[in-house]
Amino acid sequence: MNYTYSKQGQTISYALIAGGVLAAIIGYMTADTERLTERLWANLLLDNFYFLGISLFSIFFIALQYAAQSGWWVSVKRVAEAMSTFLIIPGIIMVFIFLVGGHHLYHHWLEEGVTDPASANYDKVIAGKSAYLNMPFFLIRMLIYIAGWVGAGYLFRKYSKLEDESSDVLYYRKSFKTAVIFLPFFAVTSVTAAWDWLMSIDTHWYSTMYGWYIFGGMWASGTAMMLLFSIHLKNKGYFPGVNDNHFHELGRMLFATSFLWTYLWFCQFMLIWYSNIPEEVTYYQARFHAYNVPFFGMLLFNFAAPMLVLMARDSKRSMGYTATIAVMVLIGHWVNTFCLIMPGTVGDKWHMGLLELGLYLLYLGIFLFVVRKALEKRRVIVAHDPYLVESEHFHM
Amino acid sequence: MSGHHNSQLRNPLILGDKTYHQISEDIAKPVEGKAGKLWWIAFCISATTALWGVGCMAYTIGTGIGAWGLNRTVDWAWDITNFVWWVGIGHAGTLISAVLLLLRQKWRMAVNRSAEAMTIFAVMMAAVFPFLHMGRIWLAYFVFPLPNQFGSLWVNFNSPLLWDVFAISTYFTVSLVFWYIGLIPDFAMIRDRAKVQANKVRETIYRVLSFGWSGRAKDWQRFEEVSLVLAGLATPLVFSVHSIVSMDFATSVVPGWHTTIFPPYFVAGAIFSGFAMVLTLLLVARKVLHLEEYITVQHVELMNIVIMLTGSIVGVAYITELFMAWYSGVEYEQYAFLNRATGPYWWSYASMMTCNVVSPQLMWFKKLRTNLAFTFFLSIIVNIGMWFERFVIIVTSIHRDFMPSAWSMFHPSFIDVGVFVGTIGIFMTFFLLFTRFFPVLAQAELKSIVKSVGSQYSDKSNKQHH
Repeated sequence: MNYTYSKQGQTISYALIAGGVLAAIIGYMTADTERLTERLWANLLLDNFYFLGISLFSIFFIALQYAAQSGWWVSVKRVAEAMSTFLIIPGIIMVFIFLVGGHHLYHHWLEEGVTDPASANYDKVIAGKSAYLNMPFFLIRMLIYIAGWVGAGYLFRKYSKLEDESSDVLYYRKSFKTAVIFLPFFAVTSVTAAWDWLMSIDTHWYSTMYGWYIFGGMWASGTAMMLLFSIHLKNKGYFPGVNDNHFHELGRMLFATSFLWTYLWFCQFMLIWYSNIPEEVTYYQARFHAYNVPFFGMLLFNFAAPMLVLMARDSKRSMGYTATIAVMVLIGHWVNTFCLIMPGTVGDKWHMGLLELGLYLLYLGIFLFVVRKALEKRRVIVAHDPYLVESEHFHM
Repeated sequence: MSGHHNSQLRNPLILGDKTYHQISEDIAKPVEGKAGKLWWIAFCISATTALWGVGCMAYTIGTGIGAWGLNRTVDWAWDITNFVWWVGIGHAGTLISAVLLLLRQKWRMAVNRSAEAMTIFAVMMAAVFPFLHMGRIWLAYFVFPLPNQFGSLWVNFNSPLLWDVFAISTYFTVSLVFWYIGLIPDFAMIRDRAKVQANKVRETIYRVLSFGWSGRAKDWQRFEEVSLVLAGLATPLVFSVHSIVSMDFATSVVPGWHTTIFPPYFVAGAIFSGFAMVLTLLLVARKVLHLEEYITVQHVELMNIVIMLTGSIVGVAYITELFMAWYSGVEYEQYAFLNRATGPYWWSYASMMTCNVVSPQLMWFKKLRTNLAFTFFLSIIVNIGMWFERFVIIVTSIHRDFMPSAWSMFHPSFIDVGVFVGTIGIFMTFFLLFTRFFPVLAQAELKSIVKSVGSQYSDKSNKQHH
């Protein structure tokens, strides 16, 4: 069966894009001018990274399932594949953000003379990091990450398409190989990308946990998005073989990854708060004082809601409950990313206004459009996969 | 998933076309039969080592911890290293039984029983060290929050050492209950067989142990329900225990100890070493007890993959720490890591890196990860490496602290070594006794999957019908 992207669905995407642009323009025109340029770039980075994380997650998810020789996921494989097609867009925009807006985001280490002892801008600590944090190396790393991720996504989709046409197990084996090569690459690049794009905003600060913590957030928000797409397809009748058991599994993943994220959030926060070392604790001080409500409020969305609601078996099997929680988690992780980026860029002059809303809707509109277009191109459920039989009869 | 719809890529997990009765026979045999010569040799060696250890422990209690090699600068070394090492080993059991149960992994059923036994014994061995380090062990109950009227001071709730008390005692309790509940139907099986064999003594013992298990549907329903609930409770414990152990170090301000990645990295390291110990024990047990058709090469391979995965996670964490020490720009942080790699303890750092980061990468080769002799060798290497990891973290971080005039080295005393080797002896003695008196495989669970993963049911040539 093939998916048809309905006229109504397309209109929604266009409306989101148009409304988003409009809201962002109005937001920008009417905003407080203090730190406005930084705010614009920070917002762009925020939404770009957030959606990049969601589509990058889907590639990681595909690789993980292949490597683990998992069976149940085959029925929802196409959802992950469609989500992965979006990655190229935030990938390219990321390069644009760095090249054009980098000076508004990474100015601490990009500034002239930071490494020059004779300059007034000289900063000894940042100068010590310059072997890693410098313009050409940063750009080269960025290109390597994006090329590697997009390339892996492309290969998975290619083999999966070829597998549709022939029942040969050869393509499964190729995907498996790609997955086990991709996973170590992802393990390193997902961590260093988090250091580069997010942690280097607060240039003096460092935390060894940071990369895994960002990864935990990607995993939770990506799962939430995948769950919503699966529910959509089920409701529209494209997923006759996907039943409560598959939703149970996806709900469980949302539950588990929410716990994982919270665990990583808590450990990083608690250890820094407890030790109270000045170089480190400033990071949380900034968030405690000016960002109190979003910083702690997000825990309701990212932890309390999934924990309390998805604990029970029945709620994981109810699309109403899981969809509600998935939406909450998506909001919560947007706020999380907000708290990662804003303190280092706009300081205490943060807003959650039309500009923020507009840019988010714009990205959401493009994301939905691209993913649903991608879904249209292939069968919604793969024709062949050595584990398809297990997925069809999946029961737990 | 329904067992009759396995992919043609899946291999059978139980070989030898086993019937229910054969499973009973195979698993009851070590309990009902007499111990072989090999078992007695192993038992004598273990028990002798255990006695030596008990002697050293008694000496420590009698004379005080001055009998150890600690000094004013390195006031925490061998004992805490051993403690963390044993707790880490105790992680695989609950991971296999709880996390893999929640993930519905059928291969766990051949290894869960002995892994859980290992967990329980390992946690007991871990507990030896903090108790001994208290010096006056007879006052050990003060680690619990006792009311003020009882005597002296209320415990310090801000101390991660106290969190350890709660985390580990909870973990131990849940693991023990989980393990025991799984044993009940298997004990009942031995009881029923003893009745048929008219062995009165054995029947009585296993009657008591099996808590009057009847095998009715109601019993099974409750059994399954409680297993699932305990698995749900135990899963967060897998993470919490070693996270809290890592906080013993990470909440401090000592360079090399205070690093935020510690909790998840310690958990990965614990699973890494736990699986290595499971392999060390099971590779021997499957030979001695003739369980090759249950603990197959495929099981060994899967465990080796877990070792490769967790070893790589640990490797990423090591490199992250090294990188961040440089990136931080904090000179003390930088020195702590430089000293680790090139200071007087460079050899322990080099051992750790070789054993934990380099050697598990060999498991990328299918030839090696399905080679039992190589696996056995590597599982021991991993455990040596994980011991060195804790030694590196603990000793190299404090032996050269902020004040160079206080710098010193740590040299273990004879007693130090004796207590450590002794715990290995006690551990092995317990494990050997376990293999004689307990059903080493969860036979009731194996019977529940034999019709889906038994070799006679998964003939690959017949699997194309889907």
